[in-house]
Parts: sequence; C-alpha cells; structure tokens
Amino acid sequence: MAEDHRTSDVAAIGVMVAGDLRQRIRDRTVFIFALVVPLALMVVFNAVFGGMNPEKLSGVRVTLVSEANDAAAGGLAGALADLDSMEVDLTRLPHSDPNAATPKLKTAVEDDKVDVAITVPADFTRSLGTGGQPRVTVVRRGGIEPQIIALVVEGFVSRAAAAAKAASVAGAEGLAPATIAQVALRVADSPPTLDVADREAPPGQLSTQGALVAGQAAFFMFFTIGFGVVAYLEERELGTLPRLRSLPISPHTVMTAKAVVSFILGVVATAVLLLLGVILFDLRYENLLTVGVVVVVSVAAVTASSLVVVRVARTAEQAQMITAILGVVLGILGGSFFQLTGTGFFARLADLTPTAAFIRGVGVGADGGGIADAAAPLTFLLGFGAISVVAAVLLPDRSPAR
Amino acid sequence: MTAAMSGSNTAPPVLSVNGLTKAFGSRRAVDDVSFEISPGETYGLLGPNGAGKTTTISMIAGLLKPDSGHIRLCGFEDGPTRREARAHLGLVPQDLAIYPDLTARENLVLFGRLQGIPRRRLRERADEVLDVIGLSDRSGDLTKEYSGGMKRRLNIGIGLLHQPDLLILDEPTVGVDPQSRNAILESVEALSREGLALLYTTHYMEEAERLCDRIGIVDQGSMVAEGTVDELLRITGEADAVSLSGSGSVLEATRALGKANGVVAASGDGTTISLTVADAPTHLASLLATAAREGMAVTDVDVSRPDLEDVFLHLTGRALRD
Ligand SMILES: Nc1ncnc2c1ncn2[C@@H]1O[C@H](COP(=O)(O)OP(=O)(O)O)[C@@H](O)[C@H]1O
Ligand SMILES: [Mg+2]
Repeated sequence: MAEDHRTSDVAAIGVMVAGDLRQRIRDRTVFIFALVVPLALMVVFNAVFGGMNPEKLSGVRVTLVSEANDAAAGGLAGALADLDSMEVDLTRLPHSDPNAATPKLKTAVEDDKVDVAITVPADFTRSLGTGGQPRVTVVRRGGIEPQIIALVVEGFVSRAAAAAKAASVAGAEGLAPATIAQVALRVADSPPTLDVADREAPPGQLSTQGALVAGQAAFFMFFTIGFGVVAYLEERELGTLPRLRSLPISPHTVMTAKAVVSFILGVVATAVLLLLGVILFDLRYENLLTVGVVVVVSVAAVTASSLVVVRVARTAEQAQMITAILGVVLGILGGSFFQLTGTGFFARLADLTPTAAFIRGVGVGADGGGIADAAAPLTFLLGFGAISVVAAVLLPDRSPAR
Repeated sequence: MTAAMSGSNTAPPVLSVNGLTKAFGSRRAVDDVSFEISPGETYGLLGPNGAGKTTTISMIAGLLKPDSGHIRLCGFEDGPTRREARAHLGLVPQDLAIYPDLTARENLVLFGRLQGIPRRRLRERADEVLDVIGLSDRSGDLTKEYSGGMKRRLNIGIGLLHQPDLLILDEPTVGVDPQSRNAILESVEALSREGLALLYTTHYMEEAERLCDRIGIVDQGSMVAEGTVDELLRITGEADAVSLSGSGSVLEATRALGKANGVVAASGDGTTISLTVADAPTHLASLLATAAREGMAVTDVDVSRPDLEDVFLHLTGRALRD
C-alpha cells in the first residue's frame, strides 16, 4: 500500500532549512536582533563618538549637579573633561547649592550663563550598579556642541546600565553586587576609542565608523547564529524532534540543517550590516573578496562554536543564556565596543577572540588587502572553528533523552 | 474491524516485537514485552500512566535503543534502525509535533517532503489528508491559532500523509474536549476500515474496547494480559462489577467486603467501593449487610457486567486510572 519514496539526506536538509527560514522570518525575533538592534546601536554610537569635525567645534560651559563624592558622577565628569574634540569648561555643584535647583539652571541656560546643565540623582552610582536607569536631567541651549554633550551623557549612562546588566547575568553565577557596580563603571568609564580624535586610522585598521560597524556586526553575529541552532533545542521542547527522528532520514541531518540555517542567517545579517555601513557612513571596502571571505569564515567559526553550546545546554533557554554571555564577553574582550589597549594579559586575550579576528580581517579587506594579508585572522578563525567542531563531536549530549 | 482482519492469519505481521526491554537507571520502564500486529489489525496497548507505553513506541519508531529484545518492522529485521523500514511507519507522538509558525498545509508539505513524496503527489495528498482530518477550510491558518482539538487532528494527519503500513498513535485523545475526542475516534475507525494496521495506546479502556481488535494490557513495564476484548473479559471469571456509594465508615466497609464471600477484588476511594463479585445477584444482599454492619450508609448500588477496568483491577489489584 505504501508508495516507496526516498529522500536523500541533502534534499531533506534543504527541506528543513527552507522550513526553518520561513519560521524564523515569520516570528521576526531574528530580524529585530540581527538587523534592527545593531543598526540602532550603530547610529547612536556614531552620533556620540564619530562623524564630527573637531576644528569647527567651539568650547562649551557645562554645569554638573551631583552628590559631592558620587563615584559615577566623577566618572561622567572625567569623560566630559576627556573629550578631545572640544573644550569643556566644567563646573560642579552639590545638590544642596541654591543654584542647583532645576528652575535656576533653566534660567542660567536661558541667560546664556551656561550652555549645558546636567543633574544626576543622589543615588546615581548605586542606581547604575544595580542595573537601573537613573533619571538624568539635561538642560541645554540649541546648537551642535550642547547636543554632543547630551549624547555623551546618554551614552555614558546607557553603557554603564548595559554593562551592569551583563555583569548581573554573571552575578547569577556568584558575583557580588559591589563588584558588578565596579565592572559597570569601568566599562562606562573606559576611554571610548571611537573618539573623534583617532580619525586617521593606520593601514589595516578600520576608521572610527568602520570599527563601529564591524564591531557591532561581530557582536550580533553570536545572537543571530544562536537563533539557528537554539532552534534544535526548541524542537525538542516543541515535540517535533521525535517526529523528525522517526522519519526515513539519517539522524544527523536535523542538526546539520540547523547549522546551515545558522550559517545563512549569520552571513546575510553580517553582510547587510556591513553594507549599511557603506550607505550610512560612507565606508569603503576596497577588497570585497577579502571582506567576503572573512565574513564567511567568521560565520562558519561562530556557527561551529554554537554547536558546542547546543551540546552543553540542557534547554533552549539555557542555550540562549550561554550564547548571550559568550557574545557579551567575547564582544567586550574582542573590541566590539571599545578596544582594550595596552600589552597586558587582557590585550593578549583580546587577540584570541573571533570578534577581534573578524574586526581585523574586515580592516585588512577594507584597506584593500588580499586574502593572504588577512592570513593571520583567517587562520585563527579556522582554528577556532575546527576546535569547536571537535569539541562538539567529543562532548557528550547533556540533553535528557527523548 | 473483523473484516479488515480476514486473511491476517496468512500474511506476515507488520510488526513483531520480542522480549523488548528498556531500563532508565535502575527502573525498568519496559520489561520483556512481546506482541505482534497483523496487516489491517488495530492493536491496543492499554495501561495507566507510566506503564511504559510511550517507551515501547519510542523503541519501535527508532527514537530509543532497546536494552534487549528484537523488533521486526514491515518485513525488516531490526527495523527501527533502517530507513527503508521507517518509511513504512507513521508516528503520531503523544506530545504535539507540529510547527506553530507554519500553517496546517505547510506542516503537511514540510513533513511530506521529508518523507520523499514528490511535489505534485504531495499537493493532492495534503488535500486528501486535510479533508480526512476536517481542516480543509482552515488549512491556510497558522497552527498556533488552532484549538487543542484541531492541533491534535493535524498531528494525526501528518502521521498519515505518506500512507504508512503501520500507524502508531500514542494517546491521541489526551487533553481534548469530548467533541474533538469523538471526531478523532471516528477518524481512527475510518482508517482501520481502510485496512491500515494501527498500534493505539491509551489509558482509557472505553477507547481500547471500542477501537481495538486485540489489546495488550501493560502495567509497570510488563504485559500482564493479551487478547480480544472477549478473551480478556473472561480472565475475571465472568465476575460482575458492583459499586457501592455512600457515607460513613466507607474504608472499613471496603476492608471487610474484600474478605466477604463471593468477592474477588475490592477497592475504594472513601465514598465509593468497587467490587468484583463472582455472582452478584446471589451475594448482593449479604454484601449490603456487611457494609451496614461496618457503619457505611449505602445510598447507591450499581451492578454491571465486567469491563476492561475490572480486568485490570483483577490482574494488578489496582484501578486503571489513579
Ligand atoms: N527519558 C526517561 N528517563 C527516565 N525515565 C523515563 C524516561 N522516559 C520514561 N521514563 C520512565 O519510564 C516509565 C514509563 O514511562 P512511559 O513510557 O512514558 O509511560 P506511559 O507512556 O505508559 O505513560 C515511567 O516510570 C517514566 O517515568
Ligand atoms: Mg505515554
């Protein structure tokens, strides 16, 4: 009675990949995480740290109202004073000062006695450290310079908050709240290398915006690729995995299909982000072939590492968590947000991340370098991928049977 | 159903399971289970939750490796490990196995393609199946918008798509409303009439009684009895089921009645006592007297011919449903 049909494994993988892509596109999460969020961050970071011409900017008078010994306020004051692109004349007032009241500050700005007045809450440091979004008031006059100051403040706060969030994820693993606050401040406080000052990039190194675009693309690569393989664990929770495994196809085709989906999502999202760099920030990739090869090899390497995640995680939720931590840690180390400078242990460690290798590789290609010139990052990425594959094969499956 | 069975004595079985055993740690989920299913036959595995039904099916479908035992599937020795054999098998898992972000038709096409059904044939076949499961007019909706019963029906439809020789249904009516449940039972009957061999697991004895040509009763991993419904009912010695409801010292009455004359088995839940009695008309008066003596005020008496529930009670000393 049954008609004898046969599926080749390749055909089966094709069918599963098509079905998966259709679902990923439908549920839109991937689209938002792979394209919308990184794009938004690029635009914000660029507005804060890049794209200004320092010669044309004039000095600004800034008043900062805070508790006298607030650490985070001190950090913010430092960040403002360190702005290479413009002269900041900073006055600090405690909350108790009669001139620190918001109406008084407004009048001061209107009367052109000061250009920008910033008021941070009394519990600024604690609030940042606990992952909150402290309410910071900025009163400013019109013009580009006050706007830059406002963006720097915003960038400082959101960076500290984001870092505190990431650190508190690690906190679930036993990091003390005080340490979390410290980590958050260190991140927010670290000198932004995407500063207006280092516009003239040395050969093989990306321009400010180039590094920005490549860094964000590398950071979100982990999340995008994670979506593909996490789907494997989701299928087990969904109940479709037993059905797939009862079909007349060989057992490893399911996992292979997920890896292919990850790879496709990763390549498309990364390529689109790099291309948006061309459109939005006038970036140029002199050697497209090199950039393309770097993208493909990086995505393959990260896909391989996500296979390890699937092995180690028991549930889809756990896998997503591990992917997020990996992405944040490697992103911070590898220079997705700021480069760790110096020659110490951390700088060495930074070189050993796929994130750093990707940014370097794209840098070589953007500068017109051939594939041979990108040999070092490419070799690293291939090695990283190979080790991941071996680990994924050797590790026992921790998932509960059935 | 009997019509479908004719000739089954000569044809080789579609499934033959021998000495199947699987342990999880020290717990034997399936313990030396053997049975056969002939072409066109509907075979039921009846047993309470945790009896080992799903584990047995998982081994037959190749999802779990047996610790020992032998499975011959659709003419293939060691069938579950062979792709050719699995191609003749349809599985309807106990947990829903459909994609919520795809429509019913897309689900069918996806699994049909994986079964290797050619595109054009698949389009016709999907229409046929949608018709059988009564989802033709909703076939373009995402399945996440379906009711529980509709999802269950699609779950069955996917198992049917490639016209298997043996369809395994693992508790397909669990958690659906009575109306959908009836629709599912009717379509299972229709499949059986078409001559499809079915392996049907359930913990509802009415379903087993209604659908199955032969039934294997499983408990704690072992098959405790096997046969047609009539054969199984004979096991109890044609005893009758007597149920007493009431208030007062029901537990004491249960204990006393368990030892009373003519009583084969007794169980109670505090308000109702279920008795298996060799000859109810003869013994009923003395049973009621015993209950009254123990301090139970009987308000309702029910006497019925034995059913599979009683068979299970007789064999295991426990009720089928907990
Ligand atoms: N993957 C597993 N790991 C450990 N124990 C299991 C597993 N699957 C089933 N069991 C146990 O095996 C027994 C039989 O389960 P199952 O086959 O699901 O029963 P049924 O389907 O009849 O309700 C139960 O005691 C159950 O807890
Ligand atoms: Mg079960």
